Amino acid sequence: MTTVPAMLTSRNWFPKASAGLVLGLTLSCALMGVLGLVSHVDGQPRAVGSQFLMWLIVPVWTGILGTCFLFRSGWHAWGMLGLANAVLWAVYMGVRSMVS
Amino acid sequence: MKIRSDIVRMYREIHSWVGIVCGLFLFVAFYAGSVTMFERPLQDWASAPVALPPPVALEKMPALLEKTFSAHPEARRNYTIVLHPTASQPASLVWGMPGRMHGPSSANFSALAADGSLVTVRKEPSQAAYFINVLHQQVGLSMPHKAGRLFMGVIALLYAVALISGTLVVIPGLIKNLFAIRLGQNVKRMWLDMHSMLGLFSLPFHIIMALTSVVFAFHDEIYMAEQALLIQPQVQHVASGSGRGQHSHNGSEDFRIPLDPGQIVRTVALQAPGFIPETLAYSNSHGSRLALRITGRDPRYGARGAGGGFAGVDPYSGKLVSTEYMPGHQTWAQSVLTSFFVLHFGSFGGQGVRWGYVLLGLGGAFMFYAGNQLWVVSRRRRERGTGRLDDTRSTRILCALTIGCSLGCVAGVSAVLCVAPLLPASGQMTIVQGLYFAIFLLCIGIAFWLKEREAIRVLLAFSAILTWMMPLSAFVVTPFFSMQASALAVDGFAILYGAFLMLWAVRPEAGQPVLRRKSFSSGPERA
Repeated sequence: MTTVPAMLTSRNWFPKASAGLVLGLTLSCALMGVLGLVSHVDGQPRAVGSQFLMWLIVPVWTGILGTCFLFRSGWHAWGMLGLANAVLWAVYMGVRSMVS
Repeated sequence: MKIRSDIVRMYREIHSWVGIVCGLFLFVAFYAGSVTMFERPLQDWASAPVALPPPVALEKMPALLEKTFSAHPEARRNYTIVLHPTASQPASLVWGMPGRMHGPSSANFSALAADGSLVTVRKEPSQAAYFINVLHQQVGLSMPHKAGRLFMGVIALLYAVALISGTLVVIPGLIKNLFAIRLGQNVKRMWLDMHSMLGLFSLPFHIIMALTSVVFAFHDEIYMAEQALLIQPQVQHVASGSGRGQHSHNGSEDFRIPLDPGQIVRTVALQAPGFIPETLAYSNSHGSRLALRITGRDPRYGARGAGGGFAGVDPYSGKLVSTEYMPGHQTWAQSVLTSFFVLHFGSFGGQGVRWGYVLLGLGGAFMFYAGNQLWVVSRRRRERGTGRLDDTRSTRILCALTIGCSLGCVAGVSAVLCVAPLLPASGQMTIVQGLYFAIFLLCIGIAFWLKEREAIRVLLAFSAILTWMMPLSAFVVTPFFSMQASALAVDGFAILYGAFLMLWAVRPEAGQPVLRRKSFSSGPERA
């Protein structure tokens, strides 16, 4: 950042935390989808690959949930995470249309 | 390491609010989880002796099986051979369990009398140790299975946030304060140091617990999402096709005769040296073909379940058919997955690790208790600063809840264990549940009724007495000379632990970071 960073407070926790909770989950799902398609995991729950993908969601999700408070504001959190979601879901759609 | 001070301040506030919301649930989860590390010994300890001849040896098993099957044909459907019978599984042949089991369920136990005649006893298992396990899984509430799981997941997510924020708060002063527990002049400071040090030194343990708990809570839902995202029509088609092929292949083996259990054990030992089998579980639910699952452990490897791993064995040839969950016979990827479970259950490295997990769990429980107490104390300090002489109502409520819930859980667990050997055979779960929550609520009532210092002392002394009564109630049911070593160890530990609780109750300044006069004059602090 070029300017002096804005002071962070815990006052606006709700918009940030809700962004982390909801968009963090959808983002990690998109990540799971992309990685699953790329590595040809077929989603059968007993298969080793899909178990790994299932475990992957949780650290990503909790990581986002724990660090989403570092966004400047709630709007910022929803915007950035929303953008990341849009990108990853677009990648998922693209890969899926190529695979099938 | 330097972190901007506004970030640290923000995370300190997040940490204290998240902590206050989930701290008491986590206390119960960790305390009950520590007790659950000894679910099996406690299960054995709580089981009353049964009037059965001594367990049948493995060589005589075919005779026992034959006699049992001719007297009770329904036993064929589902039977288990126990290789090392204990007080809770007092015979080497167990049968008649319900198909799908949640926790211990009643079963028939068969043995041979001295004259070779069949003796069968139906026995209801003790539910006390399992109840404590469920309490652990549902963070101290009693809910339907699914609701409890999801609620636990929410608490586990908050716990993860509390860990991240707490770590970020501690890091800036890390080097300076690492080993510093400032004893003496300021008790609150000392409690804060203990809280941070416990958190920091057991951070890997807490990270594991937080992540695995979130997975345990939400894995069904995540798998559903995964299937929706990844399963494609042609893949399903291929899967069902291969399934059908396997069935027709299996059909040709229907008329063969299964090997004797002794032969199975020997063949498995040849294929998997070092694996110590514990039970052979036969089931006939898939048509006429018998399926065999052999459970056991291998001290050199961690096991997927809290009690051990298992392998699928062909009962007709003794050949290992599935080793996905067999310690030491997994692929690299499977053993990595297993390690996540192993690290949650502490099912590796034998008794030493087990005790280590107990200490880490109790340390974690104490950390949550200390965190809540620190919250109360710093709130109280702020209120005194504005000139109030007594607590506001919310501080008083939180203080009483902290003491009542934490020590109520301790007393409730001890009460459940103390009556466990005396309970009637049937309907145990309801009694145990009722008793636990009655004691728990009683303790919360006492915490609201008495002054906090007295409440802590009374509740700790109450828990100590309940814990000391455990060996007494065990002796009422099982005479001393017929007690097994593991049961005597439980008794011994109950006496020691009761003494620990009592010492804490007797000691002045028990269980609270007290505000002394002097601490007002020390420098400004934030918590």
